[in-house]
Amino acid sequence: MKFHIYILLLLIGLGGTSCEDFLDTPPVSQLSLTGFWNSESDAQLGVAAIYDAAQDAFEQEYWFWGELRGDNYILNDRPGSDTQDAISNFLTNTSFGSDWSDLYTAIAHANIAIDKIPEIPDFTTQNDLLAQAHALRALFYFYAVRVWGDVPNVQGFVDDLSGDVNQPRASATDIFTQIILQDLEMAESLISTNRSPNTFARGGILALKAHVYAWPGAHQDYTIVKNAIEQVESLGYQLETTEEGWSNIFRGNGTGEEIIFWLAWNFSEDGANGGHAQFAGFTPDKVPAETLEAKWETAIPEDYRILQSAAFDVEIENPAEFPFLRILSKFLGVFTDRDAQVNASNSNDKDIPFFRFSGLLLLKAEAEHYLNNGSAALALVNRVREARALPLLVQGVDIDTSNPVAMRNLILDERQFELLGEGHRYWDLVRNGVAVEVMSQVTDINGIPNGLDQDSKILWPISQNVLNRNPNIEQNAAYR
Amino acid sequence: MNPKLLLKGFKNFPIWILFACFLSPPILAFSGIDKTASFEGSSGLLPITGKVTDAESGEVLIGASVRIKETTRGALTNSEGTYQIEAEPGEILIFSYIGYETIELPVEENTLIDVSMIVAASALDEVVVVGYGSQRKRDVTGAIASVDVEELEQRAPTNVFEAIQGQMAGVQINTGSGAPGSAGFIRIRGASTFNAGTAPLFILDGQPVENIDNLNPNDIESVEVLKDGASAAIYGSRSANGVVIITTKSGIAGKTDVSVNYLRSYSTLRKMPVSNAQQRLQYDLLRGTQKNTLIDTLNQMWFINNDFQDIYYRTAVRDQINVSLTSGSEKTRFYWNTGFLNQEGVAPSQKFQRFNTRLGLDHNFSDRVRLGLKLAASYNESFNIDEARENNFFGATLIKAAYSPYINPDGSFLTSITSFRGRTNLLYEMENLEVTDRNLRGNIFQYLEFDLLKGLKYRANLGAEFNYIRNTVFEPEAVGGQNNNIGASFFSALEYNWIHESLLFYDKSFGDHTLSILAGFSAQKWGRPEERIEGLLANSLLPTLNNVAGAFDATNTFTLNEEDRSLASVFGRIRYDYRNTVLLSATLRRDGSSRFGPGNRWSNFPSLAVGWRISEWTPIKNLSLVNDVKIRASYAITGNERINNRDFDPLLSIGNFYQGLNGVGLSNQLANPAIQWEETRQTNIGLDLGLWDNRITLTTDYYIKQTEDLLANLPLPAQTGFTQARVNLGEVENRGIELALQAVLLNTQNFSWTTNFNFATNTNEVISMASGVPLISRNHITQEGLPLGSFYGYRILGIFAHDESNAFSPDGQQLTPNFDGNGNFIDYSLNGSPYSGEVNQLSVGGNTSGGGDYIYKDNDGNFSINGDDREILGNPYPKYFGGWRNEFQYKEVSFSFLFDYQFEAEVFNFFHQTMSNFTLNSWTPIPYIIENTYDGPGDESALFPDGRRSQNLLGTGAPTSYWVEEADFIKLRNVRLSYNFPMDIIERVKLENLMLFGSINNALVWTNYTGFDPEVTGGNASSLATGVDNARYPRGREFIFGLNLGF
Repeated sequence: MKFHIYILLLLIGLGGTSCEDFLDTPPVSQLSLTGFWNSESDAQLGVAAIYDAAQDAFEQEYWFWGELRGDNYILNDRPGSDTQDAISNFLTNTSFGSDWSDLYTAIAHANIAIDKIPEIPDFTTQNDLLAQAHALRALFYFYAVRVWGDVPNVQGFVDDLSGDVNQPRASATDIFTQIILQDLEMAESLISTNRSPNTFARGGILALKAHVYAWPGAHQDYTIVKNAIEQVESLGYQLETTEEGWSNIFRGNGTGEEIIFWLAWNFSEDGANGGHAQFAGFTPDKVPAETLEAKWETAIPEDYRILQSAAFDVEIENPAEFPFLRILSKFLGVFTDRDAQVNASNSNDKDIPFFRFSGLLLLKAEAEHYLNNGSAALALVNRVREARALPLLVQGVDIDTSNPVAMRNLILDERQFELLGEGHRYWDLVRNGVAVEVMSQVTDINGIPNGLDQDSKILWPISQNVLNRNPNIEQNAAYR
Repeated sequence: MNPKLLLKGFKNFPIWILFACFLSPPILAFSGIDKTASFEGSSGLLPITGKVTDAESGEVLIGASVRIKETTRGALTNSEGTYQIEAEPGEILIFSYIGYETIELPVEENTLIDVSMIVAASALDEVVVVGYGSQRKRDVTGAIASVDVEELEQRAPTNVFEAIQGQMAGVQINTGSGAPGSAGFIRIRGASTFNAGTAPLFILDGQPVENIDNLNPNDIESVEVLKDGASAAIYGSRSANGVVIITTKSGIAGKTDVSVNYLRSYSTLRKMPVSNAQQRLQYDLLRGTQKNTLIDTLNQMWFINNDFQDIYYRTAVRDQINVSLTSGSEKTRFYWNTGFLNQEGVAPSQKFQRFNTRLGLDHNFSDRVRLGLKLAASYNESFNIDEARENNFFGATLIKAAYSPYINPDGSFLTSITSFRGRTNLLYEMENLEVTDRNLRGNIFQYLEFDLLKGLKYRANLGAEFNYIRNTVFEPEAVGGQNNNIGASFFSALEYNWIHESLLFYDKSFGDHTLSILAGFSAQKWGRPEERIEGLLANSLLPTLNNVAGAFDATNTFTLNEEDRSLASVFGRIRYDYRNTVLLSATLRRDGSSRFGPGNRWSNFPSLAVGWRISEWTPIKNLSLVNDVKIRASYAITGNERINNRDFDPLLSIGNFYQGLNGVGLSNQLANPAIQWEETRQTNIGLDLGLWDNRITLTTDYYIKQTEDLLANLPLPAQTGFTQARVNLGEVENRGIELALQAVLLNTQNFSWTTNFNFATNTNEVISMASGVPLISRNHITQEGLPLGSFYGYRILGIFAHDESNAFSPDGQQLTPNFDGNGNFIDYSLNGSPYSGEVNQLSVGGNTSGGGDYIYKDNDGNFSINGDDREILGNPYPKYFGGWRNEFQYKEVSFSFLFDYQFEAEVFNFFHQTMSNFTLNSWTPIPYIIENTYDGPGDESALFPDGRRSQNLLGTGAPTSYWVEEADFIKLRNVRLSYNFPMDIIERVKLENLMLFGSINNALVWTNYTGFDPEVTGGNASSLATGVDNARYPRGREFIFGLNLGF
């Protein structure tokens, strides 16, 4: 009978506890928003999450947006459809890179940090962290307007369903004036660190500022570009002066004095989806274009960067089977034979190369050129050439600095050679207004002309995935 | 009075009344125990013995109860049918046995009292198990489908899903993929929820369990499916999708019965048409990116024609053995079974093994106290192929180029890395990749039952269930990940839950009235700690050691998660019966779930059901043909809470690493503190008919199921930073008719023929959605006025034969281009007459279409094809479905077959659509596609576009009308022939029975579907996105041979 009594006692005991207590099950291994954003370490971890979200937003897209649509590459014989869409410039609402979800996720991470960091009681790194959040948001929106044009203006943190979540697109001009320029100003005023290669410091903020003010639009101002880059120069960045030093910038992953801001990609933390892997592998579906090789070898035959950047002439065993084994070797190492692809295993440990000092000097050259200071522009080109141990260009002999087209093309070419594989070429073409002009010369191996045949196609289409989820978003005109 | 209003009133029923009910049973139980009753015998009693037999056959009745009226003394008959009991003269003995009329006899001088018992009239009806008890089938007022042990054995099943498929009206079963050990799913009366899970609640011997995948079908006595709301409502929460009650076998008093079953089967896959090397080379040329291809015998690949279906697939063998033992005495009975299953997959090296054991023990502690135990454990181990890899194994064998080499001259398999054009070699992978899933499950369930007062019974249930899961994946160096690394991952989780229930039963008859009352309380709690470790063992010196400890950095992919949840309920039921003519049943359950935020946790789930047996009404009673007619009606509100545990809580995500900092970010789901129960209101009207002494029985039901406050994942605009929020959104309705006909068509001494036919319809419509905005996913749309999850995409009208064919009049009529003798374009004509008006051209995503491009239907008439031109292309849910089973018995031979069917459903053949896109080098399309691809200007008969112009394909983003296909089918699911050896032979070999059988599963299929199987696997997760064929593991045809032995 004792057994029964125990059971009965147990039942009474169970019946006696309150049901609400029984149903209160606090999270065991999860973290709730209530109780976060209270301390310095919370702020540090919150800002780390913005960078992490930036990795997701840019891991492949960085090149799809900034480089593949230009003339640096051609398709290998059997490309994936993602690459094919971008390189052929026949983009659709399902093309890879047309979806802004990851970028807006990163923006949301920045928004909450900008909301919450000032509410935390004062701590030493508060301003620095807040500056980084502002700079990151400026960077995200700068990409958004360049990729899609008008985009929704979201600055607050969405924490419930009560507000209107289906905002339409705001004009790109408003995005520049209401977000990007203001965030840059905030970031510049708050930042205290000068240089830090993998997080936003003063150098990175000024580099972003220079690119923003160089971009066509009501806000465009080459004097500000020039001033910003001059400030960058004062922060102590140095150009590499040897072949080894130059190639180590890329293969040593983010070491050296030239790096201003590279978004870190660390294999052990971020996994094997690094964007550089798309250029690696046994048969990458895109390879450096023969036209680029021809242009480069004609312009600067003695340039070591040709071999260090793109393995154009690799001896391979079976050319019939692998007709296009040319590989972007800049980050991965020079390929000498087919087994060399094993080297590509470190492709997952490569950063996303946003801003480098030489690129900034050449952007300053562009600013000087548009400010009609032809000789100042040439001096900057020669400054980079000198560091690369290349013959300097002589005004009036090699180049007529008063010829705007020649000067523009010279700077564009110098940037193309120096920054191959660094996600800038397409932006350079668009910024200088020559995207359609250049791309309409390009045909694929079947002779089909490149799809970038009108200015309206410079912007990307908006992914159907985005359109499905928000009825107020309108497709870009060229893709309707 | 409006029943809805009445039920609304019920919803505000004060909970404390029921609380009082659940607190009272222990107190009553305590006071009701007569401490001496069961142990002490009285002095001066007469020892009485006797035998209890069936009056008609004279067979002894084992386990019949003999009780002395108004005392607690009693006994049961033993295996010889005899009993022993002590009684005083004048006392009254009560003899009772399930299904027989109870007999009362006074004790006189005679100490030998033999009794022959008469079958009770009501025993002509089967008993069905319902929530918290059982009921005579003829008294049921809801819609309950039931399958008993004989029908369960039909297919020699490996799991419950196979056992009941096609046998119940309105119950749709998909047995999952053809992979050994894969779990099936059940959908009862259509899908009535968006994202909250469409699976029913499983009750195993009274214990709600999380899943029944591992249950040994040999253990099952019966399966009952509570389809209508009123039957299910006693399980309130979680019962909106119906309830499946599984009763396992229990011990029978008598001598020990041993039964041994063994079967072996052989499965093979039907071969699908694939392209040979010549066709593949043709494809390379059509695709245009390969310039060097020689389409003739000079190309060495021309002659390499590997048939990868032959190479990769094998005949899979299944062995299944069961040994069961049942025995018992008056006081204690047990059932014990142990089973082993070894099942191969048709993919090499793939195997599923399961070991099950179950013990059921019932003990009559005293005349008033009964207790019992069910213990079950199972362990299974499966060696799988990794279906996530290389699209998936089966798809990959069908798309691989026939000229791809797979074997080295020395006989070893080519590795993945140096194989042809970067394609991995599946055989090599199969041989080296290790994907192992292991499960250890246990169920513990015990009950204790007191008779407190006459008619009043208290029962306590205590159950626990656990499932230890451990999955490992190991990629040795040779298989390699993306970078030829060695990779290993380990996942383990311990799922557990416990439940306590206190139940109080009261049964009372007075005159023509019978009343039966149940009150109960239940509390259940679940937990699930899990951890995952992944590591890459780059440059390891131990390239074959499956141990993540060697990973150079495993910390980054170490994740741990633990969640728990709980559910508390009080419930009650009143059943009333007036002369077996008027039947009434009402239930109410109040449930609280931790899955909703404070304030939204509790909800009430009432039901009301009435039945009227018209056959008791004199005019019908006098019809000799009709022996039972009953009409039924019920209404109920049931609930669903199958969402994530913390959808109301703003959770943050951790592990967002940057530069060594463990970043804390937003999770991708926006929290919704207002989330609450999903409720289904179901009305059911039914008719039960029994004709010719119940030789023909017909059960038919009509139902309307309206689900409100649908739990749905609302996709959020990307700019919010979240991908979705869980919300209560809108209302969906399912309605349908079910019909089950059971007939004994012939029944002579040597020959009988029984047929079972069932048919069901279901139509499904979204009545409203809160925002009015349709939910559109990649392939599906869910929109007001349409069924759930319709296929949504582009209609294709054909292929433009020439560039000039892309010409339309302003009202959208296609113009016909005219060409001169040299093929130069001259002008257009429309309907035979020259056309000189405005010419419009279709463009797709901004690119003007030309010859060899799809002609998409331009639904908005703006000549620009984009997302706005999508339309409804079909729906994955069948309108009509059911099954037909026949059994013939001639002497010792029995033959049976089972058909099942579905009509008016569509399936999206994603696999074929992808291969027809021509964008993927690694995919070889089927010959039909290659042969019908556009081959140049003027190709009027092409069905598929120019492979070189793939930039105009919208099909990569949504279904096209080409590949949304009819999914109608009739399947001969099983044929079975069995032979029972005659008694004289059996007795000679000292056996009780011996049966041999042969059987074929998935014997024949009639369908127009071009893919492997129109019954697409998977898709229980979201009812909004089912019916997409990804060429997952198909089901094979299985030849089974088996033997059942009893001794």
